[in-house]
Amino acid sequence: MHIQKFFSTSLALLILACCTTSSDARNGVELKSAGPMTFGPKGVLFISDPIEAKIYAVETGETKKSKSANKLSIKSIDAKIAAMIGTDAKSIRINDLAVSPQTGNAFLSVSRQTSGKSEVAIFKISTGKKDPKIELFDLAKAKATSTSLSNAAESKTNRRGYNQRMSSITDLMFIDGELYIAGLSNEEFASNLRAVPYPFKSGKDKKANGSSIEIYHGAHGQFETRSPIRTFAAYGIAGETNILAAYTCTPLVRIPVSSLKPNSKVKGTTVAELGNRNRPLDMMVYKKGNKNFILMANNSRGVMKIPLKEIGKQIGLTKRVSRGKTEGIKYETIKELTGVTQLDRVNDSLAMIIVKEGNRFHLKTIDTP
Amino acid sequence: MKIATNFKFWMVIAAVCSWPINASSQQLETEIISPKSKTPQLKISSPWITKQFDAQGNWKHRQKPRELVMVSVAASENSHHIPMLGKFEADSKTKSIIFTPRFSLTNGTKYYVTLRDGSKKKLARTSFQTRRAKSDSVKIVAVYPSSNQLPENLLKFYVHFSGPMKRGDIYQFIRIENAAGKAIELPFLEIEQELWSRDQKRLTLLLDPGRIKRGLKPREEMGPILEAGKKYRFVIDRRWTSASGKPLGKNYVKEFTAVKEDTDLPNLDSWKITAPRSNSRQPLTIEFPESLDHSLLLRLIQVFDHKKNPLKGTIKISNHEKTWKFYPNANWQSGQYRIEVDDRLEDLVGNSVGRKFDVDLFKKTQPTSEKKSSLKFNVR
Repeated sequence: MHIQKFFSTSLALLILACCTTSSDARNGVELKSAGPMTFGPKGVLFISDPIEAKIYAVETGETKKSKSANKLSIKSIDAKIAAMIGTDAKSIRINDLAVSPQTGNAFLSVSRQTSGKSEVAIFKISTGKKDPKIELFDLAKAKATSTSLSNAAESKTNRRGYNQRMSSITDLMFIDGELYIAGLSNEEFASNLRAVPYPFKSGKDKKANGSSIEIYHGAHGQFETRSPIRTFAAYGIAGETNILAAYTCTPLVRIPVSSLKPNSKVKGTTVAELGNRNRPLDMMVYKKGNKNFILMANNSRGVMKIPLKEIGKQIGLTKRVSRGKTEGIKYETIKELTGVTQLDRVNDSLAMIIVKEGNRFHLKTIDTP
Repeated sequence: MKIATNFKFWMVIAAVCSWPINASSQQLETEIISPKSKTPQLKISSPWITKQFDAQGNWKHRQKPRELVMVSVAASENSHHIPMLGKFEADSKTKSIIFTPRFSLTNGTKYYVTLRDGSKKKLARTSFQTRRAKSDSVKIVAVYPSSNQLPENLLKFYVHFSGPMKRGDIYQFIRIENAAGKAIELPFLEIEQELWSRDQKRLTLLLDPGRIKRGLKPREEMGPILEAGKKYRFVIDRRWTSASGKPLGKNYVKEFTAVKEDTDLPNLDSWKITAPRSNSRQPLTIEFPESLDHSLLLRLIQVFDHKKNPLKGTIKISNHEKTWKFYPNANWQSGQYRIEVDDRLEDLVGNSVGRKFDVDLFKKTQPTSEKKSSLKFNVR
């Protein structure tokens, strides 16, 4: 049975009002929580704080281009960091890994739960010397700017004591002067992709909070839904920047960044369905030989290597995907890479990963496949 | 980052087991001190440390205290010890070394303190154990939707706990069983970040939208999660622990029957409003023909007076989330009031006042908006 099927993603862009933005660099960041992180220009590390609904742009000083990035392998990174904090590995969580594109040093956001309270820290793993060094990145002394993602309507209800709403941030990425933030709410079912210009503008500036882009996720040729984006990456094809977004409910969708304009409706193209019982976790773009690839970590289907040329060629799925098969782009599964929970690009030839083995987590550098 | 300031937690059993390393070893003692400063600190003392101070109380050893003392958490005495982050200071008054940990100490944890002389020779090692935290028992106080008749395209469950729960790997503790007692495979959208409220007392569970929508691959291959007419059990495992580590103790079970799918938007025209009397604090009551989202009902309906001021008061939801009552803090006055309904208000299947969960792409007009709808009522 072949049912005509195409996926589309329409994006209605809305400007949300009333966010506060601090554009003045100040010293000291106090995180209430730590979600995904990503590096921006000039050694700036964007750190999301979902509980505070804030994004901090922290100056890390990771600006000097390293000549050669050393490969590293740190077994039980979770236990080592836990010991530095003064607790056991079970009590901490590594939330995200971000690698400085300049120095190749890795940054880990870590949280620890004690009696219902959460403490958050950023650890830096220096790769420059022969032996990697794990150290605390001192947020208290760091220079940072921030932007707030909450809007006035929510803070109003907050005073009434009812507001338990929170946006979880699933991924963020700096693309062409804007920080793209994907998230989902713990109450209303709405996909949310927000673009915030960086450097952050002051609160009075209408552009300060950027555009909030609501995503309608298409299915079945007839319907569109509002599935959230779980992870995304940006890449260029023929001079055009695209976002490749992995949705929570299966497909991989290509959206040209140029189409993400306020008050316009945009159709993205579903380029692949990557199989059921699978959750995309993280992705990165790299070049091997003369070809560009996306490397994507998944919870149950291992690490996928997808040629970008294929994505450019794909014009959308047109037929039903048969049982257990994946459709669209041809990709390769890297069998040696199992249990990858975090993934970030060091350079075209190296990637940093966190691998779960039993109850332990290891940090290591791998050659890009 | 702050170090936990509630020092009562850190009642300590200090330095009970100090043991010598060699003949020249030192009695090494540790004590958690609670100075007036907000930070719990560790006082480390021994005769050898005392000797490192001169008569005026100045530290005279050529190496700094941090090079001589290590505080650590390790699997055992002989395993590899990684130094804990913190600050070491020589205290001239007590002739001891004060350690201020960078992160608060953990309850129920064994800490080692190691003293070396300048040549890295281990002089002594001692350990102490922080008291186990009083682990608060937590129970499930409510699960929404509260009805035991739920549409087969149900989108969400909210689980309310009496206290904060432990985050991380939560999905292993939650399942939906069919009538035969068999767990349905992957019914929830498993999100690493987990959808918790700020106080970590409410968990939002999304049923996998890929299994709800017709035509999507997960549903094609794995089937729908719920089917009308069938009975199910929503089960939360008793082994799941509170944030302080105490298991729930017994399984929570909500039995329900799936009924036919709901495809209609919540329609404000069908809401029945019962206005209160003036000079009273009677509730304003709104009755809905279908159950609506419990959490959104608490947030997205607001009452305004004729001066456009929002009214303060208490919201109560009952009748399986079909009745919304607002009890004002002040008496109602005669005149017109306005009820503002945010278009994001959803029913149990994700259809909102502004828009359906599924939108037909081929229809020219799509009810999509973020605006607010108003209802008016008069108080007499």
